[in-house]
Amino acid sequence: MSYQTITATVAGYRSNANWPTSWWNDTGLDINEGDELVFDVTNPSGAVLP
Amino acid sequence: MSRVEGTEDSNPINFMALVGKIGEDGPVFRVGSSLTKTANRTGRLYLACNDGVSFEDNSGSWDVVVTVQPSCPGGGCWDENAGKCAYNYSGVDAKTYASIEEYKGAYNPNPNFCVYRYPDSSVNPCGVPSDATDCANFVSQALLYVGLPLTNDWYAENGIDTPKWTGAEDTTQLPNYLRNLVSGSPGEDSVDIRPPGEVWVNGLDTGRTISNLQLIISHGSVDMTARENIITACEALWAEGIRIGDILYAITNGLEHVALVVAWEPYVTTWNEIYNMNTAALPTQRDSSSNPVPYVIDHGSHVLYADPKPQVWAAGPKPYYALRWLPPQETSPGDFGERNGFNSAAQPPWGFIHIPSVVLFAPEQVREPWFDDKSEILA
Repeated sequence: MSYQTITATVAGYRSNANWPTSWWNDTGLDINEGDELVFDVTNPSGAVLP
Repeated sequence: MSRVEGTEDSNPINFMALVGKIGEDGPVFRVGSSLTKTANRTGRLYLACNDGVSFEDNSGSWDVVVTVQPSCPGGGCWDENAGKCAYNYSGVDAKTYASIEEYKGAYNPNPNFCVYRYPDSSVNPCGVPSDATDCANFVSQALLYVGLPLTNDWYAENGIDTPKWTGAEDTTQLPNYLRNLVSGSPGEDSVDIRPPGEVWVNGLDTGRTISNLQLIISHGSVDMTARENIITACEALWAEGIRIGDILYAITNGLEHVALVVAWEPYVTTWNEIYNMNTAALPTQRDSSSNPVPYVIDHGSHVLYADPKPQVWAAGPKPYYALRWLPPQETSPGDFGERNGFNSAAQPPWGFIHIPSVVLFAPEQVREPWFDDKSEILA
């Protein structure tokens, strides 16, 4: 895998159907062991509310 | 209470925190508002919020920037500007390996490289004495010792070399590997010091034949017995950046030969002069008046012809143009004029290939080596 940066939108709302698989947002990124991952939430003020 | 299970640590993850996992069944880790981590497994990356009860009553979203910096197998470092893994090449280290291993010559070749000898040898390549070692294998060992990475196209495994690791001709691995070293690294390039007026053939492009390696220097029309011609060529080599650790290629009608530049020493014309030289000292400083000639170590082929065996003087560094000399068959080294002919596999023209100090590979090109430390390469 090459170096890449993506922005993933993680929505708070998810269907409860097909849980627990449906809880997860698929980023589309295939990670290799040893890769360095950097996460940065750009809109922390957009906190997900229950 | 967290609804996610199988977290990476024993600390509970905050309710409604951003979490991630690698692989559908991977352990969950807390991301929070920011996180830097090294992936401990392979798989798809998923993100979620750590809801405890139901996701259907949630609102809002996070925008998460995820940057993935690939790992570099074989000890490389990620070069963000190049977008590739960077590997340092030290010519001095290459010389060190050649100096250590060469004196073992054909009589005790490194058992970590079983096909050190020609693959068509009729003898067991591992540990059974033979009279035929392989130059490309030997040079490849030195490059590997320096820290250049094994790739999908240039590789050996511990004691089980691919046959194509051996051999310097165009159907083997080393020529293309050298092309990649040169063409894949910015800021430096091979050099062309062919005589003015000859056609410039650009680059060591993939797909070209090995004969194009001669683009770097050609002695095809140079009288090699004329001292001034050789000195002029050597001065040009230095001016164009040829240094210790660079590669000499000889191309002769399908009989290719390859060797490592390991020293700068005097111009000589006889084996006696080499014999009387303290080649073990391996001076590395060039001096245009006293040490103008690049010396090379190949793989002990000259030792094979020396009698009695082994003859350290024959295994040591020698002026590159002496590769064409067949060593004397007698006990003591003979003069240039006493040799019984030329080494057909090491005739001019010769090409020199400058290996950049940093070489670049895409991570997917690189193979994990079988060793953890390069000292394990030594026999």
